[in-house]
Amino acid sequence: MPAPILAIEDTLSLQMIYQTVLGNAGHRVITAETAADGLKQFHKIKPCVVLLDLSLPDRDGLALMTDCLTERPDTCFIVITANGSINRAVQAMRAGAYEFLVKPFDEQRLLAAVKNAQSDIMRARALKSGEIKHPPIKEFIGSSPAMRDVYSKIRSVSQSMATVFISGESGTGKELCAQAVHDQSNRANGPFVPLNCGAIPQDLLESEVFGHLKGSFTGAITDKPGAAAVADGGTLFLDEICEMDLNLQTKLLRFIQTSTIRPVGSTTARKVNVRILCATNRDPIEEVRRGRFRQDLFYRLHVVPIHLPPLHERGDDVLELAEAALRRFSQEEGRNFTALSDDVKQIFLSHHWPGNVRQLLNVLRNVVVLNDGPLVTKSMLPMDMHHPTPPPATQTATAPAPAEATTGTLIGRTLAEIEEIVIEETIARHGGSVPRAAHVLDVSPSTIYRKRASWKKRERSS
Amino acid sequence: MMQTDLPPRPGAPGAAVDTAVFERLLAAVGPAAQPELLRRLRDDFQSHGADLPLHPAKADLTQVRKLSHVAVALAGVVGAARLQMAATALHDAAEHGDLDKARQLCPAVQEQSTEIIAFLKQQLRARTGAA
Repeated sequence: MPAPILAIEDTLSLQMIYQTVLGNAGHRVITAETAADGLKQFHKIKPCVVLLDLSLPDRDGLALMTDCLTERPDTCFIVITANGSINRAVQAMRAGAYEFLVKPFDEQRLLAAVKNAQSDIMRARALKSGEIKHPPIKEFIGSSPAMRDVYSKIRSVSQSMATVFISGESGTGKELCAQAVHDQSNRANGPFVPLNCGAIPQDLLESEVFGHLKGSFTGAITDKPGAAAVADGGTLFLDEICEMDLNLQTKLLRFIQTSTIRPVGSTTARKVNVRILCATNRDPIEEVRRGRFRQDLFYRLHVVPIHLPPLHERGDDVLELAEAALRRFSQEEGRNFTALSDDVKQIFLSHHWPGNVRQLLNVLRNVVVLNDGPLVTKSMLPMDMHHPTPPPATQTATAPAPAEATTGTLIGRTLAEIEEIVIEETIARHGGSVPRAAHVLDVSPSTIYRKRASWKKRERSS
Repeated sequence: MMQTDLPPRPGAPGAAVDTAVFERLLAAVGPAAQPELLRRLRDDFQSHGADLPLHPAKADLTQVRKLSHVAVALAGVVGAARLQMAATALHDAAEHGDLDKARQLCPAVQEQSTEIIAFLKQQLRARTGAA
């Protein structure tokens, strides 16, 4: 029999509601009114799932959760907080909460959160014990526990209509994941339409998503269907969704709520049947907290989250990926590489890979093009990989500590030159990722893409 | 429960409670638990809404913040949208140490909580004959 759910809530009527609703759904629930009582019950019943109100009379709920997770890190804490306390929700998630629910009470969300938590716990246990095996999905390579968990989620979610929110650092395979969800779904025969919200200028993004009529704005020389219309009957994948401006977020929310689209310049709406997947390499909760992403849209989109782990957390997958890439690139480039040397394997296993899989593929392509086999040796790798890289302080949207000012090298240059130096240096510091650099520089990625395009054009013409 | 004895349902716009939300809550807990839930809600609205200090002092703001935090949740649970908004505003004011604003808002939250308590008592009376 599974352990009961522990509900730590000091307001008696709310406590009763949680207990009754969960009890009617077949769960056993033990309640506690204070942090002290909650901790006692936590030790006694060893729950897998805990509902926790962050505001308790005798202690901060977050501090209680931290203590409990130190003892039993596998416990799923579902944190409940009042509307408007998004800061607290952010803190709770960063401290290890499994999910957060915003008061007031929503029966369906509560039951779904508990069910997801229990399923994830059972799946994690079964994977750990080897009871179930999840072979990689065809688009992916890698058999680490972290990725098996991802494959399992992809299989579970693909058959439903639920919106999937894919998160992960740049280069971890978010579009691959979206493609996999589509391919495993009953919409696999329909269109899969990806749209990178960060690569398109904001003033054109509405037209890209919803389409436009001829003449609706300067440059609209013909009618154009948007990505949502093209994806009718299939899947629309919105990559870098946190780059979308607030105005368009409002229209996207309306689209999700009504399944209707209205192209720019049109007065009539049209219904479409589209499943939405989205992705970001930012911290979406932080974006909501900063007011850059609508909270209601986040809740609509964040129904089934799938997080892709960074490459350095995937253990031996880096070698599986490297060997597969080596075979493919060798064939494409007509080389005869067959294996990685032992010291290259050690370097790959210990390297931090800030650019993740994309960076790994770039390194291997470079090796194959510039050298000959059969063995990849240390001398073929880029110089900066010869020494271990210290991991950055955080992996999320928090920017790295600013470098010491090197104004000496900038004085005497034009502002345009200084801008180019700072932008390129920032991109290099973030593993070649333009979206991450854009986030640090607090501009949209499309701004950086445009600037780089204009620099290239200037170089060609000079 | 004698359906014919239930009081008229406040469902018109501007009414204290959205009956659709309220009835969904009662349905979620089931008929056996409804009287006990109504009693607990009545008591919680009393202690976290109706008993708010009408004219709080600076030292009361921490308590006002805690009470209004719960009032937000309670109001939302029963479908009292106006009270939920007022309690949210009061919670924000208390959290930011805005004593003047808190003093402006406390009477509204207190008054609306009292209204909800009256509604809950009617519902309880209809279901059990007691308030």
